[in-house]
This record gives sequence, structure tokens and C-alpha cells, in this order.
Amino acid sequence: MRVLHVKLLNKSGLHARPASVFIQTTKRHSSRIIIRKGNREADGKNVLQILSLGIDMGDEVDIIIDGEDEDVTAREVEDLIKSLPALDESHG
Amino acid sequence: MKAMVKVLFKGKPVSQGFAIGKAFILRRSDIFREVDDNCRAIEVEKELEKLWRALSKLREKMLKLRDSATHNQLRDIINAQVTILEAIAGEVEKEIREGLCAESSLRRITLKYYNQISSSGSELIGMRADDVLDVGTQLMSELRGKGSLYTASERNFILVTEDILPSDLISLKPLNALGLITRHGGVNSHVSIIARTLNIPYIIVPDIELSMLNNSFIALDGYRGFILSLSESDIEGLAPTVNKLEKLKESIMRNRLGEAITVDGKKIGVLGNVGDLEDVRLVKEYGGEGIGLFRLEFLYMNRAKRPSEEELFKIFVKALQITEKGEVVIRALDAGGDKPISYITNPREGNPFLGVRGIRLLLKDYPDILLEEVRAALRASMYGKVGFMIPMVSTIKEVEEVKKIVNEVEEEIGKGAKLNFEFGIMVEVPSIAIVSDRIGKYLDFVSIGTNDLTQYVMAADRDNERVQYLYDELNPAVIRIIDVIARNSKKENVRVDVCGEMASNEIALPILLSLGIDNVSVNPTSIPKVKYLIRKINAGEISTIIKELIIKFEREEEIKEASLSYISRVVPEIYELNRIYERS
Repeated sequence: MRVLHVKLLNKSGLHARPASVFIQTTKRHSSRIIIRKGNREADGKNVLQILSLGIDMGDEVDIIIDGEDEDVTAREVEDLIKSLPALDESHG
Repeated sequence: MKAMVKVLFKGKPVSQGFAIGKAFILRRSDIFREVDDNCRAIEVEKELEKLWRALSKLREKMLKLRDSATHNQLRDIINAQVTILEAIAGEVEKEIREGLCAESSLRRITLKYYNQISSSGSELIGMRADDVLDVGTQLMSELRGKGSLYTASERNFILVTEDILPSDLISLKPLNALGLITRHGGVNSHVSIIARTLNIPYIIVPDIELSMLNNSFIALDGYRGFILSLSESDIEGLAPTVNKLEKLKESIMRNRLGEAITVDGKKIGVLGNVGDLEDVRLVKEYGGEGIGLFRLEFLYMNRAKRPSEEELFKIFVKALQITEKGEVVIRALDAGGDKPISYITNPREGNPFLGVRGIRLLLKDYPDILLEEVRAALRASMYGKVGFMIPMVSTIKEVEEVKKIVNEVEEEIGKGAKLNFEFGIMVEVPSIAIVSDRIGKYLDFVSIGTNDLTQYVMAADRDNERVQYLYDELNPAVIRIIDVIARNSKKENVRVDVCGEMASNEIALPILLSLGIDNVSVNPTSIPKVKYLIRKINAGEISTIIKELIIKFEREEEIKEASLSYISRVVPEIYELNRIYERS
């Protein structure tokens, strides 16, 4: 199991568009992915649950990745979070 | 032809522009109300098949809409909706396998996530609940074999409705909706983003009466947030004006970013007035360089308990992050007067505007609230430039008292941390304006609140229609007192801001610039227009015209005429909108 502790730095957090980009990545992997914010959790492959967490700019979350491809998944998720601020220019 | 232009309703401008046409009232039937909450699937396989059919049909429709969309932003929104569609269908599938019928499950899932996302705790993400409702509604109408939810028989109409979903607005555009008016909505919802992208003027009017407007001819002023009544003959007469305005808007919006520098080279800061983080995002979008007035009242209203220092701190830091480089000027809670807050007790006063409000209330009864706000603002100033100012100041003693509190907190918090903090006051009460030559040592800036200043100088209630003829921010007495404040502040090296409506009035702006104002702060959507004006004005030139005359003016008409003749010479095009109102 891998646990990533990340801080969302893009201006709009994980709202509709960044969240859909996020799940496009997570869905490619077989590992189970849980996002934890405070005491609430969401399935990292379900956009509705991710939106329900209301992850906003500056929020810190844990991403728990568990499964056979957890190492490569963790790497990709980490890169993805880092690349989100570049999406800020367009709205959505 | 003499037109009768009358303001019917006032609301909040969301997307700029001016539209004239017939109002078309749209009532969307609530498709979920017709669905039973707990019907069971008779045959699971058949029910699943029904879901897949509806899903693939809708997805196809959405992708088609996406590919025909003219803007990247619209394509992004539709892509996000497709992801939401797939997630909803996935959850419905699970429930069907557990024995629920497709329609009941879709209703449950849609409403469940709509509620969860609306209350997710982030104001921006909360607005995406609309997308879930939008997708759920469309999928339901596919399941039930109903086609389009709307049938608009007319073209070239102004759409008036309780609320509207993103996909409706995208699909209504080909029908040529000229403008949009809704009762509910947020300035950063997908609907608002789409309206701005597609250049559809849009205002939100909470107290609109739909039945009053049906099939009547109206004008929508997306600059001021007004709905005007018109006659059919006005439509023809106004058409050329509306066309010219459209061209002007494009040019104003194209140049909204970048600095506002007068013809003679003076940089004027153009900032936004806000009440919450939603507004802060709007300021950014409209090219504002920062927040010149963050009103805290909205953060305290409509709740049982006041926000904690921590909550305020987080909001201020977020405002700084959204604003990026600019300053965020926070005004201490201005309760009392016309802004009652349930848990703040203030005895009934015969004359609340002259009673315990603003800093009077904080110092007298709620020093703890003031302290929390000062602490939150000072802590936030580690993350960017923060200004803190106090409203309704009448004496130097009040300034001293608050400055002392600020100094104490600053000393405590400032240890080992670098603060980027400024302290200022609102100048609204004539008594503090008169002694403004004595307060420079306490202050980094003053912010002139022209709405209240005018009301107090003229002793004319802003809300009393019978004294509206006295309430005029261009009265020579008001101009002279602003001149006094500006000159005194300059001498003491104190920055002078103006954060009232006056700064977005094209006749008043040249006068303010002639008096040496440093920053103006206006409604977010007015920012591009104010920048456009500033870039055309020669502050030195107008100063020689106005300053010489300032002592000689006797009536506001003379001031208006002088400014009008100047502004109509340097920016004649900006007058189009005013001409519409002058017709009445």
C-alpha cells in the first residue's frame, strides 16, 4: 500500500474538469484508490464521490493506493497533481 | 418619439452586454417529481438494457454537442459532464442489480450527489452540483423517452426563468436567446461561464416576478443589472444603439487585463468590491488588480454563529491566492444601520444610520469580533498584501483605539514572521473628513466610501425617494470634501482610494482623477469599463479644468456639464448606454 500526502495547488481544486482528468488516470490502473480529506473518503475512480469531498485550492488530502500496480499508479498520480495548476487558465 | 424607459427590477450583473427583446418565460417541469422513489425492477436484464440504451443515446448527443461547440471552455464543460454521466450510470447499474428499477435509482443517485456536492464545503465545487442535476435530468428524459425538455417556439427572445441548467443554455443558443435572467444562480456556475463565453448578457434577480414579464418587451442592462420596460416601438429605435454597444463591449473586454494608465502617464489601480470568494474570482476574471473592499457582512449573515478567527483567516488567504499579486483590503464588520445580523443585538434605534453601526458597534459591544478580524487579517498578511480598514469612523480617538489593537496583535504575530500589512479607515463621516489633516500618522491609506459620504454630507437618506434630488455624489459640497480628504492625505503620504459606486460613473470618474485619487474599487463587472475610461483620460488636463472651477461651482449641474463636455470629447462612444436612460 502506498500513501501520498498532497496539497492541491491549482486555483480551482478538484472541481469538475480537474476531477475528470484525475479519474481518466486512475481508471487506467487496477489498484484501489481512496482519497481521504479529514475524516471523509472517496473512491478515487468515481467523479461524483470526489466532487462530494469538495477539495479546494490549498486543501491537503491523503491518496491511498493499494494493489499490484500501486508503484506506477502512485508515480502517475503524483505527476498528475503536480500538472494540475497548468490547467488553471481555462475554466470549467 | 419619446420612449418611456422604466427600471422594473434590479439584480446582479453576471455577464455584460445589453439586450432588447420580448421576454420569454421558461418553466421547466421537475422531471424527478414524476418518478416513484422505490419501484423494483421486474427483470434486471431488461432494466439494465434500458439504462444502456439511454446512456449511449445521451452520450452520443453530448459528444455531438461538444464537437460542434465553438469554444474550448464549452468543450471542457461537456467533457466533464460526460464523465459525470458515466459515473451516474455506473452507480445506477449497481442499484439495478440490487433490484431497483432504473428510474427510481437514477432519481436517488442524482439527488444524493446533488445534495452532497452542494454542501461539500467549497463554494466553487458546490456549484458543480448543477452539472450532476443537469446530467441526471437529461438521462431521465432519455429513460422516459422524452426528447428535448424545452420547446421554444420563438426566436430572438430574452429568456426569463427560475433557474437554468448548463446544457439548456448551450442548446438554447442556436435559438438565439439574446439575454438571460434567472432568479437563482451563482456568478461562477457553469451557466454563468457559458453565458460569458457565448457573450449572452445575464443578470441574476432574486426578487423577480415572472408573471409580470411574460411576453412583454424588455431591455436587459447587463452592465448595471437592470431590467427595463419598453414598448414595441422602442425596440426598433434602440436597435442601432444596441449594435454600437455590442462593438464597444468587445473592445472593452479585450483590453480588461493590463494596467490602467492615464494619457498623461499616471497609473491608477483598479480593484473590485466583493462580499465573498465567488466575487473575488469574478474580479480576477474581469481583470481587477486586487480587492479594494472585502465586505465581511455576508460572511456573518444567515448563520447561527459568527465565523471563527480560523475561518476568516482561511477565507482571507484564499482571497489572496485567487487574487495572486494584488492587495486584498478587508473592511471590519459593518453591522447595524440597514444590515441586521441575527446574533448581533442592537437595540432598536429611531435613526439607525446615525446610530450604533460600524466601528461604533465593534468598539462598544463587540471588541472580541474586532480582535478576531484584526488577528485573521494580520495572520493572512504573511501570505500576501493585506489591508484592513474600519468603517463609520467619526473621531481620531476611534482611529487611535483600533490602531492600538492592531499594533498589539502585530507585535505578537509579527515575531519571526514577515507581514505585508496596511491599516486604513473608511472616510464616510464628514467629521473625520474635516480633521483628515491630523490622522496621517496612524494610517497607510484612506478609502472614501462615496455612497455613505454623500448621504451624510447632504443629510439625505439614500433609500428615501423623496430626498433623492439631494442625494447626489456630484454635488459641489461632496466634491469639495473629497478634495479636502485627498489633499490632506497627499500631504501626509497616505494613499487615497475610492470604493463607492461613484468611481464607475463615467461622469464622476474624471473628477475623481482630477483630485488625485490613487486607486478605485468598483463592482467586478465594471472593472473593464473603468480601465477603458482611465486610459482615455488626461488627468492633468481635466485637473486644470476642474480644479480652477471647483471653488466657483454652485450647482451640481455645472460640475456635471464640465465633466460631461470633457468625457464626451475624449470618449464619445461610452455615452451610448446613457442615452438609453436619458430618453425617459
